[in-house]
Amino acid sequence: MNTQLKKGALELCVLSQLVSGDKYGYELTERISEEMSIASGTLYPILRRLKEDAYVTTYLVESESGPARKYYQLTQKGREYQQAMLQEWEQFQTAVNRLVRK
Amino acid sequence: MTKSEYMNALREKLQHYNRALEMEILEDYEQHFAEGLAEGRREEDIIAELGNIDDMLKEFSEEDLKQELEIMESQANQSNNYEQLYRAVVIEGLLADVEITASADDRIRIDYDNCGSKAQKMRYQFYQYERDGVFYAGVKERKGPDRHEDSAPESIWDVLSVFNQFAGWSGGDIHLNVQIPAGLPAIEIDNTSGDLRIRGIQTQKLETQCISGDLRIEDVDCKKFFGKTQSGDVEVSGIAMQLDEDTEIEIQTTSGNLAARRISAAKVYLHTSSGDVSTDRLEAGLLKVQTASGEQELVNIACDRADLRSGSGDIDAENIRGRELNAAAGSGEVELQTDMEAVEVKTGSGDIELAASARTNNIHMIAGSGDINLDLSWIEGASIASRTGSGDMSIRGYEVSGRMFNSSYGNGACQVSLTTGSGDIVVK
Repeated sequence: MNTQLKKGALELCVLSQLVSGDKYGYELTERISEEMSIASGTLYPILRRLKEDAYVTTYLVESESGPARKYYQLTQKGREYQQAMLQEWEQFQTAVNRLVRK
Repeated sequence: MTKSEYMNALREKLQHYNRALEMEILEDYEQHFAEGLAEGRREEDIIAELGNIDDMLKEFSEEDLKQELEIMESQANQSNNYEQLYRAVVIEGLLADVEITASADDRIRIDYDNCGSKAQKMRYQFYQYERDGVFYAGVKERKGPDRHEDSAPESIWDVLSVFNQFAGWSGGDIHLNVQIPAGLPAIEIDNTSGDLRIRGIQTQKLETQCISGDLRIEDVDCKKFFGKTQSGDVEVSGIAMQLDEDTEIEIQTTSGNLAARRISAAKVYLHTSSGDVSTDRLEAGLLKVQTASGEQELVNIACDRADLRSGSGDIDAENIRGRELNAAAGSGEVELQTDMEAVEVKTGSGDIELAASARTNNIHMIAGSGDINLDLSWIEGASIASRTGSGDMSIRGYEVSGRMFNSSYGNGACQVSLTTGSGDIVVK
């Protein structure tokens, strides 16, 4: 998939995944790299940036049997941003669809 | 590739980024591996999925990079080990205080420690390189980043360079500790304002130079030593060279003082300009001491020939033993207690005081306007020719009424010739 398209869409995908509930890093990256052929490593910088921009917060959950897990949670600002981006994306999709068929 | 190889590569590349970022990403990757391995996946598969490290780093921006200062701070303390045997080692300390000691094995070890201010850490750095079998290491000024001539914004370099002009050469916070193995043919240290201390090393030729730094050398085993400083003081002790070989010690300081204890070489040259020279337990084939306004205080000297010269400084030698002694002072006084075969002293306006020994067979002294005081009590017999322009003469208790007087006593073996212009002559 074209990198420019990917970049813009990745943030939206990550934020959207968190709408249904908090997720930990591995969970998120596995889900997304399943659908898109991207290196899961590249998602960590994106997650970090989202946290710096205060769209998400993180918290650690210790596990008895396994490693500790860093969970990501949408903030209010993050929710609003995801909504706005989703709208833009849908508008973009509609416009491109129309233009490629005519 | 294994997990540990991948993580090491990641860790190394993250060095260039700020610490918070470094810690976070490493933590994310560790957790990712832990989850994957807990699922029973193989390390290689997890690595393949995580992907190329450089591509991941492209997601970060310029701002995420470690600030210049952080990198410089982490470089401000380095330890380096070198194995090869070189034909010479050259240390250029600049403003650093340099300390050189013997290495416990056959490696050169250098510790560079910059504990100075941020400005200091940014301004100076350690370097090392090898050329033609010679090993060079030292401290130099860091070059600022390249900038366009007409770029307006003030970068941190602009601010710091102004600050640094007033910061002066105070480099007391930069240290270079060098450990040198035995067997190196030549060692050279070039310092500007830093002090230099050398202890317990072995080499063939040791050469040191400072401008304002002090020089302190202890217990060095070498065949040739050259030490030079301008305003720094020099303190040398424990350099014992074989007198029957072509060995040499030459120490020079301009305004600093020079103190030499327990040194010996076939040739010993000690020069100062305004600084004083003091020695104790010195052994030489040829000893040459030269000062301008500095004083000479020489104690316990054994040499074949001694040549002592000063301008306005006094010369004071006590227990100096050998064959020939030649002393000359401009306006300084000369006071000698000698055990020499031949003594020759010349002064301009200074007085001369000489105590000769039983071995002395030739004494020749000329004082311009100074007095001459000669103690021959240890001498069995002497022939004395004394002349004064306008002064009084008292030869072995006898008050001479003329300007010239020749006398002899005992076997007349020791030839003595004393001349002053306007001074008095007293012979005991």
